[in-house]
Amino acid sequence: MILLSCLLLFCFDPTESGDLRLNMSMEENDIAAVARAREGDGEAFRLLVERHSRSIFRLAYRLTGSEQDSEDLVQETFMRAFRKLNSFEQRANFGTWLYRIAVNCSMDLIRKRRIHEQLHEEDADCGGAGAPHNGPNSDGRIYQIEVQQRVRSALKDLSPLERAAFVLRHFEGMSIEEIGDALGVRSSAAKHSIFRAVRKMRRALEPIVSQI
Amino acid sequence: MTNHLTDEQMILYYYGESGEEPLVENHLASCGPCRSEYQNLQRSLALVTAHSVPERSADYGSQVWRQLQSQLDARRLSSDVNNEFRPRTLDVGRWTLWAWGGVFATLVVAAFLLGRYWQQPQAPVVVEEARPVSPQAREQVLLSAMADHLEESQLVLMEIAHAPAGGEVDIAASQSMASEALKANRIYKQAAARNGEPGLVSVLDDLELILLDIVHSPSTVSSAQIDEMRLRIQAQEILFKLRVLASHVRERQKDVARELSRRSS
Repeated sequence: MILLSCLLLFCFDPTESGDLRLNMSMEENDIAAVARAREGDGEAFRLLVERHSRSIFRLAYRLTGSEQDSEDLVQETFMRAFRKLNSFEQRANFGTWLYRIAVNCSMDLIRKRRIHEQLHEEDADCGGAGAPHNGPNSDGRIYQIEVQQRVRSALKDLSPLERAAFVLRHFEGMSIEEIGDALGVRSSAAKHSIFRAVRKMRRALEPIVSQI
Repeated sequence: MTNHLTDEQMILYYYGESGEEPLVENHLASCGPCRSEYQNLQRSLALVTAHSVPERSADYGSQVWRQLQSQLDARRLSSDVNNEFRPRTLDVGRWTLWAWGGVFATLVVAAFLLGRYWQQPQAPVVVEEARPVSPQAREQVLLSAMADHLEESQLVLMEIAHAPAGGEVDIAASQSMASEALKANRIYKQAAARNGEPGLVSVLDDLELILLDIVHSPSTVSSAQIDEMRLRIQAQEILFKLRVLASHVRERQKDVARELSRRSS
């Protein structure tokens, strides 16, 4: 009996299965909420907004690196989602569909931001971009800040497509096929964008990695 | 697996998408240089993973909803939801107004261009109707649209000019933007030609050729092809010309805005 219990415990990971159940239940709830929202149920759309806002914010922040832009993008994503609610296919995953909208909004913003930055780079005040050498921070804190700045700067140097593909793969754990689908490109293009992004990130972080 | 692992194989393995996990594992176990390289990759990506995101409180979703409520179309989402979803005075949401604003602005630009540059009919019989928009206001809209077009075009060219060197490059996203820019460019070029501005026509002509080149290329191009495009962009100094033009147009736009504000006050 004890042996059987051990075997069951070994084969059956309660945490994983719990997550799975939670995800499935969320998906089912999403689909039901979308159906109700389509019929004009404001409370249903509210549920969707409340459930997905934080993950959309995280995604937007990783794509843009700006808190304010991410706040705006969360709003923009839900506005677009609301307008396109009728085009959402019931079989699809609402979270993935929403991600796709958020990525598109973010990529539009990144592209616009890039050109404005390049156009006005001579006016830009870059002061304060370096690591804060003077201040009460401990060495560890300064190191962390430097790492954060390098990662942010490296992400910023990626092309919009590379950045989106990398963020979706690295932080969101989406498969290459899902990324291609979300970005509207072939899987091979998504894969090569990830390769390029990883190479660039490695180059940018090389000085830090070599010290580890 | 006798050769060393490529970085692509390592990246795919890191993300669990290798499809040949046992082979890569065996190789890493037996090959020191590859193991060391893979550990470097792990360290780099671990630093990226540690990149923090500002936390949002548990009720962040409710805050977002409150902000959205004031923007959403009240008619579409019914108001019988515990009085929390209050209908606005207007039937249309703000986004609808913006959309109509965009359509109106486009119509004004088109009307302005047509009126200003199209050939006059032989027997003018059209009686001009009331003009709700002043010439300055129309010019303001036109200049704004023109400046946007020039900046969007620069963006497309910069994406190509800064595409990574080596290997194949996916330009699908740039192509989609180039296609839109191409349509707008043709309208502006015709307008400039009718207005007798050969300098502007020449720049827009150069731009059109490059945009055509981008639109008609395959969505994934080789490194040589991208270099060719890049050289063409550089040789014609098109980015510089577009930047100068956009700057002039924005300046002119500011002048017109000042003029409009002076008149209204």
